[in-house]
Amino acid sequence: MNSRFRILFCLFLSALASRVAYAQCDPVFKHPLSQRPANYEIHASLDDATHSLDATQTIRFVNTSPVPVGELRMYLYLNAFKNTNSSFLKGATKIFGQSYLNRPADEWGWIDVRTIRREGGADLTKNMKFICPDDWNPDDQSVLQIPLDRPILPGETAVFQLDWRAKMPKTISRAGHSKDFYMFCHWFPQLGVFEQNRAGEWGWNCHQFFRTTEFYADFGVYDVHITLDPKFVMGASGCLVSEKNNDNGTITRHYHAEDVIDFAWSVYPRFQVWEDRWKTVQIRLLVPPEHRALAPRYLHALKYALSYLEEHVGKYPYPGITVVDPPFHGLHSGLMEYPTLITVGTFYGMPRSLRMTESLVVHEFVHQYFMGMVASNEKEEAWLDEGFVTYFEDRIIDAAFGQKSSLVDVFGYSFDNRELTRLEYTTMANPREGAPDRPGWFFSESNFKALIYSKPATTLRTLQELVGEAEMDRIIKAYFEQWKFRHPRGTDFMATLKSQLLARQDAARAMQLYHLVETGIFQAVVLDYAVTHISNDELPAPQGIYGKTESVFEYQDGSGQRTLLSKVELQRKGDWVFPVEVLITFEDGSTKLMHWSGEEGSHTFEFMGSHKIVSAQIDPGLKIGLDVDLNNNSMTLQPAASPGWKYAAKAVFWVQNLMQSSSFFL
Amino acid sequence: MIRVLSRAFTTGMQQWRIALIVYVIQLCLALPIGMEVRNVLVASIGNSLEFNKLLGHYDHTVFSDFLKVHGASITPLIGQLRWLFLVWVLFSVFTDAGLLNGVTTSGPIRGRVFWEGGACYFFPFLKIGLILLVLWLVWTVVIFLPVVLLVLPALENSVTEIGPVWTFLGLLGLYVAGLLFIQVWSVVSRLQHIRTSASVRLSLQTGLRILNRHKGKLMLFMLAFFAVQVLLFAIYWWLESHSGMITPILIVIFFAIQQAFAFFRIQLRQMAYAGIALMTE
Repeated sequence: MNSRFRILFCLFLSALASRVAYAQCDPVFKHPLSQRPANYEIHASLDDATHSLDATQTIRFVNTSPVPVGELRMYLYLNAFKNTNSSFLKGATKIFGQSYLNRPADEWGWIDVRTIRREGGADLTKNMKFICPDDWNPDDQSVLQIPLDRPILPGETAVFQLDWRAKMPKTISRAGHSKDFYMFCHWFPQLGVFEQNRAGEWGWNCHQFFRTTEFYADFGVYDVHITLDPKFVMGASGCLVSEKNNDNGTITRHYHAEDVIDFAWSVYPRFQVWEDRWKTVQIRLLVPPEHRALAPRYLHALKYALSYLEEHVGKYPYPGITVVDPPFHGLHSGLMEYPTLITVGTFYGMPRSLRMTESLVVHEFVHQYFMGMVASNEKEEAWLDEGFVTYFEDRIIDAAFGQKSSLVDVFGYSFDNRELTRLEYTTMANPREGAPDRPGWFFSESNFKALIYSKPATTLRTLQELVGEAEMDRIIKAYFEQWKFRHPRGTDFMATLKSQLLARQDAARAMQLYHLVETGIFQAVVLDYAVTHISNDELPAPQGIYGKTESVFEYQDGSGQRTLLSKVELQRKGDWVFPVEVLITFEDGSTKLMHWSGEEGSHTFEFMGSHKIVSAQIDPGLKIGLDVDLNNNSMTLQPAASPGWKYAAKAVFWVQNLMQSSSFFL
Repeated sequence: MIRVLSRAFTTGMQQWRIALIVYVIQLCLALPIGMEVRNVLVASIGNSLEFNKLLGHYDHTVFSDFLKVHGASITPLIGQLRWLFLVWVLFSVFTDAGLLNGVTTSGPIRGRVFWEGGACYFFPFLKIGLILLVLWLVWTVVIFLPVVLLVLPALENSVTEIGPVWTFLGLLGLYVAGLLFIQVWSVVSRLQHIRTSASVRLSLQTGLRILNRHKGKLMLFMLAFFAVQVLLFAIYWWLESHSGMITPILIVIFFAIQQAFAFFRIQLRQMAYAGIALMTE
């Protein structure tokens, strides 16, 4: 091979390598997965010294509705961190346990749209105004309204050019910076969703930003060009398409993402990048050096989740997923989901027996399905993504690490994800506080987790236990396939549920199961059944004259065999009616499975026979996790003595140790 | 040091009767708590089939549902524990006086030595104990105030959490070392009081002087005994988490192991006192 050819060959190989590197994450779909009504091209420059962004932005909005669109409404959510009068910060002194008071001026955040022009049309800048459609707070600037010079007709595409500047706050509620770590989320002017409301009227669904609400936007294509100091290691939604070194020492990175509802990115000079692959999905994990020992745990859990969800829900269609593990000082940016980018959170030295690391990454990844693809409205019906995500988080973690010990397993003290989810709901001081199906701003910080995450997840889990995992998967798959890359409402899920149940169960049972889920989501009642009494009374043997006519009269003297009248008394202590099974066990080992509708407040089963009842158990399969007290679901007349003595022995031992240890101090 | 350890071990083993007295007192105080725990559990959920699950393993659901519904029933238990703690603190001054009197007595040791020591030295030892308890509280503030004021905020402000974590662990180690120092000073002071019948103040002064003279050996010695106890705990915990009290026979076996452990801890304390007494003769 001559030298010239060798040089050309080497050049060819290096070019091929760079193409391969980018081709490992190919962001372009052969066919659109969604209608793509909202498309963005953003050119932004990060000034690290002032923590600010200067940007130009093009929005291509396609009116996919049958009505003209006369205005635009956009989220300017960084303005939620502008001052204490915003609807987000009003009335609170801490966000996620972090005080934001006494901040100097440069630690607050904002976004300012300087100009907006319509391509081939007017300058709309003077038309812009902030609106507050939810709480009428005139100081809130999280929603911008731009009346148009002329409406966008059905099927028409309108292009808008924006010029804006943003200041990132010191991290509040995920967005912002902590030292030289940045998390850019809800960082650009983003359109709401133009859709029909529940009354059938077309309009913008574009709510203000509140502490207990998340996000809702439409699908589209994102081309994002970020210019910044090359010292920053970067992770973003979508795929890295190109990098260009600029003459002024900065670097411009171009990311492309298709059929997503949002775009987020994060930078930090100290990130270490771990790259891995699961089938065709490129995994990019960014961890600070002090967390590198935890990287294999993240990757293992993520790949398990990818595999599990493909099997039980549907295919993950995107070419990549980026996982950002913030440094500890930036942890307020953690634990959040964005399309093809999730933020997690952990701590140096997190032991293997505490699986919060795995649980978090799984939870945020499942959001790619419920929120990312099945893009329900997180503000108005947060349960519709959080409930499903928590439900699948439980399934995945328990499948990966074993029931009863999947989340915590330390020296014999253990519990699993599913238990924790149920207990978060059942241990509410007042489980009747409200139904899960309410807009997010109606929840308080003390009850939203239990009612939005835990109760819906426990409801879904109960349904799964009653219909079986295979049937549950069919229901979920049907819902996913029907509603991916669309915006379902809770009623849409319920409709899918009903049709799937009716297709495979008898009508009465199907409607019972449907009403179970309906009650769990749309009502605030409590399910609690109890066995309250078991009795076995001996009836005297027959005595007296028996027979229809005198000719066949027979005298019984009472010396014959006695009969037992056994009773089991049940009570419905809650106000949630659901039919239950009751397993009665007799002293000879025989059992009877009874059914109770639960409609009356109490019920008694009676048996005549020769064997005593020794125990009764409502819901013997322990399928109804929604029951707030499982201990009263059963009763036995032959209580085991051993558990009591076991804990007596333990208590004695630990008190002795406490006494010994306290002697040390005196 | 080996000689001291060996003699301390022998003394502890020989004075098993004294250790037995302390153990019995302790058991008599702990047993009612254990019985109360059992009674509360049985009364609340004893008739439930879920209760049986507690035999096999720790069940978070059973306990959480129990606490939610019957949590009020353990309030009296908490009250009992508070009183028990107070009673025990006074008793432990008495029992320690008995133990220390035992290690300073030559010849055959009978239970009488224990009771005499306890009666004779209870009040002086209570004074010494209270003075050093105040010192312990001061030491706790000295160590943990910087933790609260500096280390915790440093978690948010440092580039990584590694520095604050290791700083905290270092401070914790220093704290334990300080506790051991105070404990050894307490023991030496009390031994001095028994030997010389000096006043409390003089006993403390002399005790500190002796401690400073032999602090290397004494601290190492105490650290060894502390480490042995931690090791024994870890072994027990591992054993229970692997095997568990999951059948009636295993409950009995583990109860026996637990009580042997509790008794041995008392003997370990005796050995520690004997060793300190030997090193400070």
